Amino acid sequence: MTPMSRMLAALALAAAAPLASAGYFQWDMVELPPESGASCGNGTPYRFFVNRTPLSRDIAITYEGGGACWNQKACLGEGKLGASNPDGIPPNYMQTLNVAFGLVTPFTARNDPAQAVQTQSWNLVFLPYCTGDVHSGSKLVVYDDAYPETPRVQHHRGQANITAAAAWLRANLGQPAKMMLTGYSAGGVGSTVTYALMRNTLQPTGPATLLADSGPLMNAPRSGTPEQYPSLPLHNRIREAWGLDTPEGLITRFGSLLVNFDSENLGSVSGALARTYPDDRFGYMAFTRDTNFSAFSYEDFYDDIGDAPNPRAYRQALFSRWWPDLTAWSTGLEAYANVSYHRPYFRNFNDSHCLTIVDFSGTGIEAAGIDSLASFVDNALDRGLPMRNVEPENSADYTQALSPFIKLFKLLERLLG
Amino acid sequence: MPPGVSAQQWAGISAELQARPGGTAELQRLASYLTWADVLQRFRSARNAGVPSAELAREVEAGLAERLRRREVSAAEAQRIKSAVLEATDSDVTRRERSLRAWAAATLPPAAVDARQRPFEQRQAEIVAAWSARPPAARDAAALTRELDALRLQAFSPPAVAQQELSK
Repeated sequence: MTPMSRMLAALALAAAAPLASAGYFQWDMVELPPESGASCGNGTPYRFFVNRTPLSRDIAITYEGGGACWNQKACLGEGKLGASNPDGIPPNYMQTLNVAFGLVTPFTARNDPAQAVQTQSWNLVFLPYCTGDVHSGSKLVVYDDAYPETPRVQHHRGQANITAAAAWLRANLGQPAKMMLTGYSAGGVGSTVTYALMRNTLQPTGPATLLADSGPLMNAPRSGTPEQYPSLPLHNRIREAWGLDTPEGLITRFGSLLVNFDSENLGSVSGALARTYPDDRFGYMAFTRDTNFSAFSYEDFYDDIGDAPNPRAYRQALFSRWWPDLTAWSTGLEAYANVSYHRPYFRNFNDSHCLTIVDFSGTGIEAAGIDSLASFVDNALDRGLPMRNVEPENSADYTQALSPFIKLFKLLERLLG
Repeated sequence: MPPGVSAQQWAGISAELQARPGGTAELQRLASYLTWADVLQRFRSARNAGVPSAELAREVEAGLAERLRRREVSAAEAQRIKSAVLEATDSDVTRRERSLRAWAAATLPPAAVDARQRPFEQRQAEIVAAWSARPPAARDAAALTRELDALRLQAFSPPAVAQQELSK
């Protein structure tokens, strides 16, 4: 962007959905102007949602998850790992149920009937996901690998969306006191990799916290091999596909924002965040038997996974990479006094992927006396001693009772296909 | 003064809102919302304590449609609330599931359509098709990006204003 276009973008952002038109305790839609560079994957406007309160200056920002893409079918939302919202974000997104499955998290519910979290009384922001790039991309790509006659142009503009949303929030909500960023799946990755961007723009005057759910950035230096670092092929693929190394790309920007960020290793971001913001708290979560994020990480890149003759062999092939990656990731996080992590074993829901969707039932580590994720969340927000929770293999997780809401969700999922 | 706010907080909110057009109605809306939210919190506490209250459930339910119409709860939130209400008021699991589905079908709107979207996508597809038809060496990605950015500007500027309340 040129200085002139940056100025125009800033003016357009300031004019978008001014504060005076917004109501308290209501979900207000903000449509970011095209001058800001913000866009959904299909080129339509990026919209996000704000629920303000006059009773608090604290802010909780949730990044939506939902797949990722680096080929045509996935960018069209096809397949079990396809990217969500390929047709963009409708203006009434929060009021519709066809997209609500992705929205169900206690962090975006001010009035949750079962799961209380302290951020429910804060200003709430929901950042939908429609770019297929874990909120991080800066590249326009024409994909025609599946349907050459009807190419899909994908605006991987995740980084511009977050940049413009952050600028809007600062201009319209002011400087917050406490700030919490959270996200699940692709949103877990997105909230991690854009934490510095959001934090530096909002400049909270109080404690700042990241709670990143099921989007771990594994250690994978480019000087290594896939045998040493199983996530390396994925990292190499997304760097190219989403323009992370372009002059305006996220990695280029990270170099100037984060202390000791190694641009040759995406996995160094968690440590760099902890070093850059020593007074902030960083909490990471994942299930040991997550077969969704692990599929994203490895399925496209290792033939023995795609060619596995049966589900058991498939899981074995996945976990032969996922578990060493997870262990190295957790061990690496222990070097930082302001980092916590929580790794329960299994939840019979959504392929053990994501702890913060629907509610926190089935996220405890009973052997350690931890009933659910709730205590981990409070610990991070209240600045307790860092928690490093890992549940060993626990067959009781396979039959543990889950909440009625999760049962209902599973039922509706079956009914709606 | 509604529950959940101190006298000082309410005075501050009142002063702020009454300086705006429509401030009195907005203040009434906030009072109504806060009263309902307080009932919901008491319902949640009772439910989590293992003693769900059918009376509180009915109070929550009575205000739910209005809260949804005013965008004070999201669809996902409303569905969870409705589900919890049914759990407290109807012991038959099958009937509860049927009621919930019927409620969702009758209450929740489909995705709204932005009238600008279809013409934009049509024109974008034409531009991309023309670009793809060129020999690979003649495909300038930067030029395509500029052209589509210009199209986006033309199609979507100025941005739509914040959504209105759902129609009754």
